[in-house]
Amino acid sequence: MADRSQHPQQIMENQTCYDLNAAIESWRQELAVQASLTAEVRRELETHLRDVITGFRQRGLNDEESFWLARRRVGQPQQLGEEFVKADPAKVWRERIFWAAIILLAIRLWSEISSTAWAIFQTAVTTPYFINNYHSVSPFPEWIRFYLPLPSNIDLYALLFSPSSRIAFNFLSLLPVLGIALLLSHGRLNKGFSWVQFFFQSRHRFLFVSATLFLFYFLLLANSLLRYESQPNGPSATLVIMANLMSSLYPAILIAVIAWLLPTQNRKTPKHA
Amino acid sequence: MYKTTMLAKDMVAASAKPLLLSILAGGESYGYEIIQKVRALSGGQIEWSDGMLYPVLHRLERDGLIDSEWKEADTGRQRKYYFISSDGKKVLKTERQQWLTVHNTLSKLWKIKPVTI
Repeated sequence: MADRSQHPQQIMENQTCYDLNAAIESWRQELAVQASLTAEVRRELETHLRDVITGFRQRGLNDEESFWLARRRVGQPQQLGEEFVKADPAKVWRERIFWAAIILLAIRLWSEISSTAWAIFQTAVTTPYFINNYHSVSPFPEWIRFYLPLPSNIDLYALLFSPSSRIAFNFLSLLPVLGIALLLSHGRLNKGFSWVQFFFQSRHRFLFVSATLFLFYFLLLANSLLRYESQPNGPSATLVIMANLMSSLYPAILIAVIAWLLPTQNRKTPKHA
Repeated sequence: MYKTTMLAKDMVAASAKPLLLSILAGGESYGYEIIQKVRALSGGQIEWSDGMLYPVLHRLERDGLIDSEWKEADTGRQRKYYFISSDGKKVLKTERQQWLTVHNTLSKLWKIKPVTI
């Protein structure tokens, strides 16, 4: 069998007729499909596969034979996934809840940002519009209104800022989040979003960043609440403060869930006896 | 070569924990090396499938019996090394007593000289 080895001295990473690295890469992609295998587990299994391949090569097998025997020995990716599920059935669910919490938090953050932007835009646009004791002046000249597919008596601004268009805006503003989630789940955008991993690398960092953002949000909130003057028939200032605190409870719970389920890695330092 | 039925499946499963803890009590190791060691020590009679080893290792780690660390091996490749924790040593002690109890009971029945626990 030894005579079948093409280049016994060659190191594994080198190119031969059979592209070993490409074979390992496709094996890695098969592993990545398994939901129960985390990135760290896949990395560990890959080093194991490479060890087994090296073992076979040292016994004189060529790259292709070594790869296929090692692959057989390490196990089918689907089989490996099932073994890991058996070892920790709750893990798959922990990960699902973790990602659900992240998506909910992202949607919440995004809707907060977009509705604030929308409110700023609205004030900026309508302030000059309602000049002279709320007497509305159409912002568009007659020749533009002529070409708009609207009856001439409908005010475009009124339509744009009506409650129903507000609902439509809320719905449309979620589309980018869904689009990004879809692209991420298909493995696209991985490079563009690698910086996000920075925040999730450790529990402390994640909590620190979230707490800072929360503090910033509360300062903005306090700033606007201090200027709040209760109308005679409107809710009292205390009620408004309470309502705002309650509404910030939801993202706080999401952050706590994410921090709790955050996969910890390499947190241990060796404790040699 | 894959999953030899030298030792019955339930025996392999039951003995995995004491074997892993005992190997790691002798010094840190990694997956591939552990499998080689078990094969050599058992004279090829205990053949662990690679896919079965890692879930067991990870379960022991979750239970706090072993710890792990990524380190660079001599080959320059990063490897995940496992080592026994202080809790693991305590568990190994009780495991040892229990296995020896089974061993001694069988030894008496089979008229083999028992070992001291």
